[in-house]
Amino acid sequence: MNQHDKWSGAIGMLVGLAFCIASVSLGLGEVHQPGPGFLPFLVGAALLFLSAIIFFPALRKGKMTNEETIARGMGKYQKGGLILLALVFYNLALSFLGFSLTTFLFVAFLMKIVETQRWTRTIVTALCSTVGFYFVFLSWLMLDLPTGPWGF
Amino acid sequence: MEVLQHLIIGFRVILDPMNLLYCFLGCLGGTLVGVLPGFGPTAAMALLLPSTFHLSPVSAIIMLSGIYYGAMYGGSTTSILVNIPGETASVMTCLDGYQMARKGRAGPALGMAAFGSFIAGTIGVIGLMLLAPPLARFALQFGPPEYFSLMFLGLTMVSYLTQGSMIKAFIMAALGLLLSFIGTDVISGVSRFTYDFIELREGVGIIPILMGVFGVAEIFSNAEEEMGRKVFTAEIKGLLPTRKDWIQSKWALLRGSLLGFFLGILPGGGAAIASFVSYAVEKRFSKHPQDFGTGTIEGVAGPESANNSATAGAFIPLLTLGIPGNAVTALLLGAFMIHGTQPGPLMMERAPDLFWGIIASMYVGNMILLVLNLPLIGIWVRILKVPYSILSSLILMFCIVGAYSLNNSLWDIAIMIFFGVLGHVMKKAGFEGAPMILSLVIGQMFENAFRQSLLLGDGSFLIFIRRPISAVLVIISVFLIFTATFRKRLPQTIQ
Amino acid sequence: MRKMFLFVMVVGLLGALTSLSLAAFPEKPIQIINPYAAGGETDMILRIIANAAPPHFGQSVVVVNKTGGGGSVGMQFVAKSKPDGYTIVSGSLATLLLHPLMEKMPYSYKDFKVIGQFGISQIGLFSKADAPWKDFQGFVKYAKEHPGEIKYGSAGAGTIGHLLMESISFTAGGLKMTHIPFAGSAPALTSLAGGHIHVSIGDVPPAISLIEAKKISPLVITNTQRVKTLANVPALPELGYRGVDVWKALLVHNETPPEVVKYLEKALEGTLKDQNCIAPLVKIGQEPDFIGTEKFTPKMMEDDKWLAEIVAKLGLAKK
Repeated sequence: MNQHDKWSGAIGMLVGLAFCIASVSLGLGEVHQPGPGFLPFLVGAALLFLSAIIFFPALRKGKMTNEETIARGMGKYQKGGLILLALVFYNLALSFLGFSLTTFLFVAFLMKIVETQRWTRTIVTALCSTVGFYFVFLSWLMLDLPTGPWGF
Repeated sequence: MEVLQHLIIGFRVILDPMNLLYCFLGCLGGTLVGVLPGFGPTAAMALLLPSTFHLSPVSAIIMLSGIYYGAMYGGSTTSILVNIPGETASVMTCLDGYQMARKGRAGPALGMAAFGSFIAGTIGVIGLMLLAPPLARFALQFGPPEYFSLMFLGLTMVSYLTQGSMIKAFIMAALGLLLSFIGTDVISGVSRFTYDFIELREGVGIIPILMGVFGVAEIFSNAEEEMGRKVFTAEIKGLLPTRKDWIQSKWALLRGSLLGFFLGILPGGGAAIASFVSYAVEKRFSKHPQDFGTGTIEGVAGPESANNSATAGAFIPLLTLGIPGNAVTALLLGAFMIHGTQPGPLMMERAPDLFWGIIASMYVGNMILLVLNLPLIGIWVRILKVPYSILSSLILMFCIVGAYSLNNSLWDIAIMIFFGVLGHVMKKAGFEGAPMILSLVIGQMFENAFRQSLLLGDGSFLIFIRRPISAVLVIISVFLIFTATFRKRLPQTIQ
Repeated sequence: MRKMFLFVMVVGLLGALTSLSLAAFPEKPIQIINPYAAGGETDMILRIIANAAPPHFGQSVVVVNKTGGGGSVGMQFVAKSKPDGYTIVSGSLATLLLHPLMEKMPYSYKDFKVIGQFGISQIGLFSKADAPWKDFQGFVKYAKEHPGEIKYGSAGAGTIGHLLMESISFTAGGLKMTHIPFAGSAPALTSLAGGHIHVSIGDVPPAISLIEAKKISPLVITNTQRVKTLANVPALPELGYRGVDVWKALLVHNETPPEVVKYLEKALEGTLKDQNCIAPLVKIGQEPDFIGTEKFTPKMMEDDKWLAEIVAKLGLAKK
């Protein structure tokens, strides 16, 4: 927890401070007539204060405990990172490639790379889910999903 | 009793085979759309609205009400199965409902949600039927100071929504408040913290944040857990709530129904706040509060009842005054108008069959939904058996499409991804999402009510105490804070 | 001789090609972008228009919702779209003129050409039921004699309602009233019905049932003319104040060829005169109100001038 607390405390303090500073430029008004920056400033200050309560004790405790050293291995973050990559890809590619193609590639990527499934399973799942989604979202619900240069 | 006579008119309307059919279709359609992660009642109604255009007013409204109810039922399904709330009102169900699913108790959770929704919905309709006009008058007494005190009371519930450190819960609440401040400020007209992003003018979307913090973050957690696979294939223990479950939940059901109903009446109040408060209340009155968050049945029964009776409550200002209390009732109002009727006090006189037909249809709708959903539990539970590798991709796809369809915008997908990462990282550091969501939902109303009240009171803070309802709420809040702090300091003191 | 022949050929070909391209528009369905949510007031109006449109537009017309940013996302989308006339946006006084005055927007009215106005929002000033005044003049008199007492509600700071109220105040010689902004017309009306504020300025349709229930009463209509649903209520100009029509119009990209714009204008006019359009609109309490580009543009510029003035006076202009 200590390492986490150090970081989260620090980030919390920074975010709180940032909001405080930004709120001042918005105008604090006065207590009886609060301006747009009044409550954000107070809440930002509260965040700063509360984060400090987490941060400083964690700073003093310093050394990592044994379990945290073990958990430090990068290995287990790999999957999550890949999923994140896939999500970002989807967001960027959707308007260019259109719904069907992007979905197919996305599901295939997740199945093959992240979940290390065999090729057959990957392709079949990707294909079936893409077709299924097409029917549910485009045909039935008629959502306005972007269709790629090939019209689907 | 006059009411009985009116009800008979109403039942004659709803038992007409065509209307019955439309009610059924509405419930079915609403449930199916509501089950899709990220799609809630508002989305369901907007999507299915066009299919009601050519119907008669009575049939159309009956169908739309069915969609509303159905979507509320459906939303709890995804919360329990895959930790993705379809609406803010379903967030609380995620806390304990999903944990129950992980323990193999998805069936009882879904069952309790269905039964709880039915019981609460029925209580709500009865309340609506008997007390609509006086309750509406009561609701009108809520002006800015009353809303502020209510929101303040709501915020004090934050401490009950967490399993871990209190300080971390408050940090999350602060974060939620700050997020709620982003956008155009209603009171001054200036844009706050938007930095030239026009997409932020209306604020950061709550639904993408929800889906990110609960749904996507969960996928990330599972990706890191080597034990992750085991969890979803835990043996399915039974499909319905056990006797023990019922005994444990009885108060939760009752309290949830009443709380939800009254909170739902207040325009702007709504199902979400009702579900938060219900969860907090159940935890507060529970003999084993430390179990909340690990999969207690009351943690599902309470919020689920609350959000369904709130739905009935929301009809009160709509039908008696023509005032829509939330986005869904606003859509319903629009539907009324398309069909040439103005809901309001004269509706009871001018169009009694419409008015009482709607009320009767709510009874029938509740029953249809129960009958519809119970068998479906078996199917839903089986979905959990799908290999996780496939299931996770599907879940992510639903989330992406759900987020996109809110505004037809890639921006919302990006928000969801961002909060997915954030939510996951924060969970690892011991910060939970629920307090943030609560304050995010309440934040804007809280601040607006605060500043409006000061404007009304010409700068004086006494306005919160001088008005009776507001004063009562403030006293309750102070009392709660007081007892919560002292409970910790002096555990041996007898309450 | 040869050259002459070639010349005539080329000119003839060009002529044929241009008339061909004119005759060819529209070749595919036309999109109307609605920057507001599905199921809302504007959405219903647009769908009714789209429904009655095909015989006049020569193609099917589809309504697409592109919500977000209070209407600005949809506007930006069309401002950056291809200027071929297939992408139209439904703009309003607020999105086209007002927002760019108050904030830095990725578009301004100069990025669009107006096809034509299709409707006007109905806005009025309403009072709580048990008030010490009986009509608008009475209200103004009371406000003058009791400075600082009146609390008025609106749909938010910087909304048209707010600006209108301040404009009324200026014209009446400076009334000291406290503005209570709400997050939309509905919450303001609800507060008014509960008697928490004295008056509120907002949309007419949601107020009708409250008026019938005698929870609120209408003082004046802020449009330039009376509205059918509250025919007994006077409009601001009748009482010596400036009325404002919060118009809704169809817009296209600025660089759309003039012939295409003209075509769309005629098509819109035809649609709004069609019974298939008028009847459903009346059913939902709306009145089709077409104004063509020629008459509309000077009106729009005047509105812009007035808006800029008020926004500056209230200190809401963008920095």
